[in-house]
Amino acid sequence: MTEVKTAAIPTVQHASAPAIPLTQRLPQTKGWKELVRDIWDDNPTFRMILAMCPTMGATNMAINGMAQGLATLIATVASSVTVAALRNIIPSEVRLPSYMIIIAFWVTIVDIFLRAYLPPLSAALGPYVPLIITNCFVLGRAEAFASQNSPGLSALDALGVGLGFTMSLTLLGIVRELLGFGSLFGIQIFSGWTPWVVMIIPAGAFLLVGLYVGIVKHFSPGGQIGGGA
Amino acid sequence: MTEQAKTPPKKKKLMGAHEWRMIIVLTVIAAVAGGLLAAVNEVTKATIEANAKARLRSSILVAVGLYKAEELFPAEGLPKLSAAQVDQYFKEHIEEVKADSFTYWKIYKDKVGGELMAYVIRIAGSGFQGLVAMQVALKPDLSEIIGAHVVPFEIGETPGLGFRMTEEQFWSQFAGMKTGPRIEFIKFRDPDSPKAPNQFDAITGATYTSTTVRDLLNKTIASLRKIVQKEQK
Repeated sequence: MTEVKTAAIPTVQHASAPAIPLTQRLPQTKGWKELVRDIWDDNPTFRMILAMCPTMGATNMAINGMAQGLATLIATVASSVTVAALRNIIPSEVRLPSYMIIIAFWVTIVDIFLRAYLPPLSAALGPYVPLIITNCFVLGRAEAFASQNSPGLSALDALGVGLGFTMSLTLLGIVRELLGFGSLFGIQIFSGWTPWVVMIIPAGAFLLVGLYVGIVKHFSPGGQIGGGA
Repeated sequence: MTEQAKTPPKKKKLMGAHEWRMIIVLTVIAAVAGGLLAAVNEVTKATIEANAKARLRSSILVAVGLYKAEELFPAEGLPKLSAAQVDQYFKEHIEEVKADSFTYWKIYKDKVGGELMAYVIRIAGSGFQGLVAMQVALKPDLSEIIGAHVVPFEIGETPGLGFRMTEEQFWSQFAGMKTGPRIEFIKFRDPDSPKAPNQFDAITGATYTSTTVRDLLNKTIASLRKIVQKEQK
């Protein structure tokens, strides 16, 4: 599905024409299209059903979902740029171990910085930050995109996936926190709320992900013909 | 047999330029990544350790009752005391003692070595799915708990269930509790009905967490009692 969609994007010749203002020119550029495609059409959580482990584990509160998404975003962008920069140096036989080392490196950097400078968030996310290393879409972007494209374009591609992931996790976190705690980003919204404990535990995430996948499939064009992920 | 006959055996070097390149590239990537990580770790190690130390020390001050939890662990904004001020207080009033299996703190009223105000212990162990830890201040004769405090974000229990041990409603109930003959918890207590002085209210749906707290408390207080009795002899 991914390949088909990528191929469908036409190469835009007039992208650098000076007469067209940036607001009209920008949506025509290849990078912008990559970005939008990754956020919505190939949304890692609701379309590709990738990276389910942090999706279930780190979204019981909106702030946790958002932090997990942003940590993954930073790690994905950094790894993709590194892989793209080294794409002509790394022999294809050892590309996967090389990508894994690069990804593990960046994720560990993110983890160390969270522990040093944002200890409350680091403690709330627990093992899910180091587990970003095993997120399939981080390696997926490196293998499918960054290994064949320039660092700039790879950064946009990774940014799109990261933003799509952050958006999905934050959405899940918002609903789970509202129903599970009656609060939003730690601020109490419903007073005297009886918490739905099922929303706090991973079972609630399973229910919600199923619901979201259904909604996304229903409203996006690809969904009706049984396409999408 | 026919397969082998078709392809004539090639004289090929085991390690050509390409193979060497594979090894060198992968080794260099691993070495650079490892080296950079070691450097970053070295730079941030002190901060990470200082964070943990400041948290523990602030929690001890809350357990003793010198400060309110929201003064040292504010939900937003800065704590009332800086890490340096907490350290200064510790230097003047508190003696850290390392026993065989645990660490405890002696809190003095005016200066170290003077009149003893309290003992503080840290209980820590595995709960249902993560760390259960609490700082508990005890009277010098260990008969009664002065206060307790839980550092919210170091607890690894289930949010909404065991994690509720981080709520003030849970840890504040230990203040004034008797430690003898042993600490127990009580489940399903009507809010108006009385509880014994050695009982605390368990967390609904988190019996494992409550059990861990009870067992760690009894074990650590018993260990401390032995040490204190030996000192007094």
